[in-house]
Amino acid sequence: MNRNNDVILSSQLAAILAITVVGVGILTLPKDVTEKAGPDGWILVLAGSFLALLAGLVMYMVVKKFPGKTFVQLSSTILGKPLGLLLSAVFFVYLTILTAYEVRAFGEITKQYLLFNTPLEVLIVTMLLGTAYTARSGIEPIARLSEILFPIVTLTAILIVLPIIPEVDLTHFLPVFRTPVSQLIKGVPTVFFSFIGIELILVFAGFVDRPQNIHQTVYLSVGLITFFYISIVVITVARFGLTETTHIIWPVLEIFKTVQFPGTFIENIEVFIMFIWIISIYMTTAVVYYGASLLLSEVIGSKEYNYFVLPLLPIVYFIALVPDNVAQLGDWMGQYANYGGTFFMAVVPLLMLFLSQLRKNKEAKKSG
Amino acid sequence: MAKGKMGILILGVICFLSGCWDKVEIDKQAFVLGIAIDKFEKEEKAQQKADLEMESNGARETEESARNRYSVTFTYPNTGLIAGKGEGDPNFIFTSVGENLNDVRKLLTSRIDSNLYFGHTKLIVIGEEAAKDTVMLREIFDAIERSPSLGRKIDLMITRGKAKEVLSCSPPPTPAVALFIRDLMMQQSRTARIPDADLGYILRSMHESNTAIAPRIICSEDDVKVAGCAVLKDFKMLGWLGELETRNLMILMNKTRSIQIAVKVDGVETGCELRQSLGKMKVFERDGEIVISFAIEMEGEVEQHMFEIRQGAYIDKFIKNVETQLAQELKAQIESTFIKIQKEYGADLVQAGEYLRKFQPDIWEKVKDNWDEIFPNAEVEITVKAAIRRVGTVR
Repeated sequence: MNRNNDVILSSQLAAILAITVVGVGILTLPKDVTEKAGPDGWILVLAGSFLALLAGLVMYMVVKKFPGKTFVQLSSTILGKPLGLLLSAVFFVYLTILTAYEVRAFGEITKQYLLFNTPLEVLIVTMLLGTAYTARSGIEPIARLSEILFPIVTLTAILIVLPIIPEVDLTHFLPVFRTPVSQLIKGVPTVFFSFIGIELILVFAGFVDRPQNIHQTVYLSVGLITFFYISIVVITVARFGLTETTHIIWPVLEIFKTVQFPGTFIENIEVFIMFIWIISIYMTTAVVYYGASLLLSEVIGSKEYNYFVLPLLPIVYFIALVPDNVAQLGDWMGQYANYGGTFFMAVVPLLMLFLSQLRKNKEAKKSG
Repeated sequence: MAKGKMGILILGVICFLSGCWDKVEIDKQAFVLGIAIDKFEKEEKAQQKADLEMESNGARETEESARNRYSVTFTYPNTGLIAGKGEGDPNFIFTSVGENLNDVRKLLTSRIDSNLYFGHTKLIVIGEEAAKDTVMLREIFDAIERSPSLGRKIDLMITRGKAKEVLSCSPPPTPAVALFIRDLMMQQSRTARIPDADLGYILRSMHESNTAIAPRIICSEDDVKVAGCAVLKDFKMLGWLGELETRNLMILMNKTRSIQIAVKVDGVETGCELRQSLGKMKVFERDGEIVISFAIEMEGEVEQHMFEIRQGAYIDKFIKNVETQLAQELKAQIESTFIKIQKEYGADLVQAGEYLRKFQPDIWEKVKDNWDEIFPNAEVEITVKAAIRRVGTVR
């Protein structure tokens, strides 16, 4: 593989991760944490982010040992060739299904809020074609795109949140610390799985020019995402109160309907939130899609991955159409994030770290 | 060969770029500004000529009208006229009847040539009859909340009689009644007799405390007025609060901008304008009883005294006198309003329950299951302080 052009900085990886992780999950996050912990939802966000930080650091410790290695090389070295290939194949399937879910959620929400008459299929295919184009261009353009889009998304988000601030009522977070600890602990995974996408460190680490700096990537991206999540949870709950937050399917989109600018031209600022959200979900899908096709090419042993992007498209498309309705989509996504997320964000990195440490010790003994 | 490839590419691009499903020309877009929802009544049938004509085959007609429950009116402006071109009425008003709200909307598309768009809706008026029907009001609220295009800054109001009539009247400065109401609610110097309650507040309050107020809209031929409010509880309208009662409730909720009040001091009617500087509610437990206390502070100025009474108002003693009288008067008024809300309606409009949940969670744990019985029997303590700072330009 021609690696000369495929080099990114660790800060670029942080931008990729941040914009990938903030995707569909952010729309439902306030609802989920409020359902689990009531007014103490923000504690869940902090705790979950801390877990995600730990997970990221574990991945960092794994990839640090194998600089410049792809995921297949890395897992084959640690687990042995057959098991490593199998794990990579499972990882590929996992990412493919994730792409499908993201793109389906995009289609459902766009149809609900923006394009009422356009068939869902068309929305999905259009989005997939766009992301396929980005995914085909490789890691460097994706990294640059993330670097450009992330500040745009963040700045717009901050600007459109400003008019909501006079209407927030922070007393909705009272009483503090009244939720039983056991209930809090049960809720933590919800937030942890909102960090789905961070496992792509394992796949993309091979492209980073200085792998020893990836821990900075982890701090930076998890920090940014946590900031995003905390502010969105605080604003949503402070504006809607507890009951209504849990009642609305996508509270984050709904919150911008509570803002009204004077005048009639830009009266409804939902347009802006849709704009930044579509950018963000576009990047999420593109990055995950890219990860999936890259893994597939590595598993098959092909030198180039871009041949695999387009053939994947119909597969993703059909998986995206499997759920019958939004409720089923939400359920399945939750389940999928629970199991797949646990496996690839916690189990796989820990296992790899453990085994590689074991191997190292053995080698040290042998040579000693 | 290259030319052939280009040709295929261009043909492909044409296929992908044409045929937008959601294309609507702006002049075919009907920006529905106001929605009026009424309970369907039998007499209305005669007026619904168009409906009758459409369903003229006998048996079907009776079957249909038995199922009709709602009568819904939409109004949208004549955008051509606003732009200075077009002609005709400034507003288009369409009414139809149906089993549920969406049904009506779909039926109306058989009579309106434009695409109904609800993203700019400003006003929803509900008729008293519909508001008093639990099932209907719940259906209406759910339809509004569920709709992706209706925002939460909409003014939801309740009117005596038919909601349709409100949309039909045209107040002098702004003929579109929905826009008129929007401007009316947004003006700076609004009196506290108009309750500060938009759809966002109503939905949140209904969710959190199962009670809310909705502004009352009154209309005559060419005059519209918003004053007073309807008390909603358990998903239905219980009754009205008058203009002064609404003002008092707004003081209790600490949502007033300014109020006008007059007291008789030394035989002279003294009119004052007061602004609220403090409105603090506390709920606590005393000897096993729930006590709700309000600390209210107002300050303002004398606006009217009596001509040719020199040094009438410019005396500290007089001002102190006015202050005590004002405080007494306000206290009596507010107390009676609170007791009406508390005893007659049993509606926790001041959100005392929510206060307990937030600030006194231990007490709330004890009372939350039968808060509906405890609230009407809670003790109330109101302290009002009024301060007159200025007396105008003459002594």
